[in-house]
Amino acid sequence: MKSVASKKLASKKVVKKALAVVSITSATLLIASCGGGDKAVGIEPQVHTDALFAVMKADRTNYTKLIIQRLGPKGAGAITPKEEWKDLENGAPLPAQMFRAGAEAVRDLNDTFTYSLQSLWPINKQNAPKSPMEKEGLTFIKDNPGENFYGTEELGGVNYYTAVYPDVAVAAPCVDCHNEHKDTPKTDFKLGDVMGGVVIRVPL
Amino acid sequence: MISNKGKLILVSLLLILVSACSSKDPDLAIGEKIYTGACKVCHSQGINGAPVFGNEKNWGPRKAQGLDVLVEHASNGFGLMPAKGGKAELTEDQIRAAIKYMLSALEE
Repeated sequence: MKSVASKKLASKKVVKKALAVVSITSATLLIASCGGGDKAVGIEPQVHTDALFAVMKADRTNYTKLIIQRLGPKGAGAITPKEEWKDLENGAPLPAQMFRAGAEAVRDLNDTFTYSLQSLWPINKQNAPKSPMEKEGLTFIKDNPGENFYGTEELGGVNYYTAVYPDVAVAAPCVDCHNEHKDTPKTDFKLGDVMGGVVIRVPL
Repeated sequence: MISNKGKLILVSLLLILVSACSSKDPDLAIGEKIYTGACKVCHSQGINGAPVFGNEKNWGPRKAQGLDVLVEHASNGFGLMPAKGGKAELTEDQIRAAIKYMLSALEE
């Protein structure tokens, strides 16, 4: 017959074993739920905006090369790229105007990002920077040719990642039109100057 | 224990080594300066289709055409690139140095 003491010792051992099993099982479940399986990871905001800008750049370049150059006055002469293209039967939007049209279409299609072409010296005042970060970004890219600007800002209670990419005077028509335009605040642009910037904004 | 003469020789050797490692090809240094001031605005990220600095895919076929061809293209304009990137004051030597600098960013 077992003594009371040995019975107590036996039950203590059982309890300890039970506790050990429960602990190991709980730890295993915890580790599996935390680290197990493939988990979707988000894209870094800068990677996201750089990718968007790469597409915008490519489309704008291709429009310039394949449509404006090929079919315009220096090519087939079939179209007339002009600011007032709507007034002409064979008028075609300038690359910057095509770019803006894309931005407007994107605004209508989704709310996951916005983009706009802005300038510290806009011909149309609605294209001037509106937020302090836009102004900071446009100033930075003007002062640091070849560099981009990245930052975060809060607008209307929403946090945004804001990237500003340089818009460069790449052709004589860019410079001539802006310098000679009746509404331009700046008349001494030169080829290679940063005339403004593409502002891409992504809600965080 | 190293003698004073030995220490002097050692220090001299170290100085020669450091200066050899840190000396840049003067052409590349000039090229970098020209690139930063005149070319980087477009070539750092491919504005208007410009071949991107350090991008093997963009520069590989161009490098194969030879330096003289690239200098001629950059000097007179090519495709969507305006002559001398709009910097009319650049000399052919400066353009050559800038292109050599851009080519130096590619892997051999």
